Parts: sequence; C-alpha cells; structure tokens
Amino acid sequence: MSREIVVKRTQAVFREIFDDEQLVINDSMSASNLANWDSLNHINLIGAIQREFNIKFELNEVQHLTNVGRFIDLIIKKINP
Amino acid sequence: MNTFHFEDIYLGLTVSFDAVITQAMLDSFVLLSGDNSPLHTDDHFARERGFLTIPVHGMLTAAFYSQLIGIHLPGKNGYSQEYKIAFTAPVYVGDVLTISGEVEYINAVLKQIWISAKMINQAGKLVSRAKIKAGFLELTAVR
Repeated sequence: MSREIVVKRTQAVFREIFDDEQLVINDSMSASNLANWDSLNHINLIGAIQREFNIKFELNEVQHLTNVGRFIDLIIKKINP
Repeated sequence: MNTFHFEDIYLGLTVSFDAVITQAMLDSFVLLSGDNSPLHTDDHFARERGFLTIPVHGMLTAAFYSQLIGIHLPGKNGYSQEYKIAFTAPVYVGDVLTISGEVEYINAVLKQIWISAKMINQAGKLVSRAKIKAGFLELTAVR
C-alpha cells in the first residue's frame, strides 16, 4: 500500500476521531498543535487506526507515536513487513 | 455486579438488563439536571407537540448506559471513556426498557473496549442507541 493511500485513510480516521471533516493531517501534527488530541483521543486513535488497517500495535510502539508522521511510518511498517 | 477483567472480554460478548421508568426518576432528573422544560413537566405542552404524554429526558435514559458499563460490562473493573448516543424514540413513565451492550472491538494494546449498545422498549421499539468506549481499572499505590 502506498504512503499516499495510508495518509488518506489515516486522515479519514483522524477526521472521525476529532469530529472535523475539514481536518488535513501532516507529518508534524501532534498533540501540541492539534486541539483535543488528549490522552483519551490518543487511545481512540490507536484503536481506530488498528481497526482501519487491521493491524495490532505493541505497547512499546505506541509510546513513541508522538506525531502523525510516526503514526504513518508505523502503519506502513506493519502493513508492508 | 459483574467483574470482567480485560482478559475475559471477547468479541460478541453481550449483556443486557431491564429498567422501569418511574415518575420518581423523572422528578429526580428534573432536579438533578435543572432541565424543567415544559416538555418534561407539562402534559398539555407535550401532547400539543405530538407526544403521547410527558416524555422523559433522553439524558435520563442515557444514565442506564452508565449502569451498563459500571455494573455489567465490564462492571466493577471498568470505567466509561466516551459515549456517542442517539435518542431515536420518546420514552415515557411506565416504559420498560431493555438495555443491552455487545463488545464490537477490543483495543488490546491499551485495554479499551468498544461497545455497541441499545435500548428497546416493551413494544420492541428502539428508543436509543450508543457507541461506548470503556477502559479497565488497574490497582495502583494509594495516594
């Protein structure tokens, strides 16, 4: 799966979790610059992304998901082993 | 009270319970919420607007989702994180609601479960549906 498609599907997840159909994600987006990216929504993001891509994260992996770029990189690593 | 631990949870796990809507519940919710809108306190007002009689507050019925999580699924070891609720039909004093919830997704890495829940009245009509996310409590040192 191409990075472009992963980004598109991840953006759809972010839009659902943050309830913002206009949200456009970028690699540097993080909890420090995206409103409502709190601990609960972080948990929700993990779950929603796992479900969207049919993947499972390990605890040590999710601890380093500090921005969107890292999410995308990890998703690609999981689906393209 | 159920005591499901995270390891006990599986996809499709379903629980249900019944609740009877009483006048005391309606009166208490008016006081608790401060929502004394005539829709919920004036029978004539409600009937003029198409209701059979005074409907109870949607959020009153939503309290049963709290019971679903705190008492039944997961029960003692769980806590509510998020609710998305729709009120699909009026509920009246005297109605008997069957509240049910089914586990539809398990977020194993962060011990969170997603529950699809609904309420059906004595006539089999769907009066509410919800998507709920719940977490699991863990023992920590007492502060």
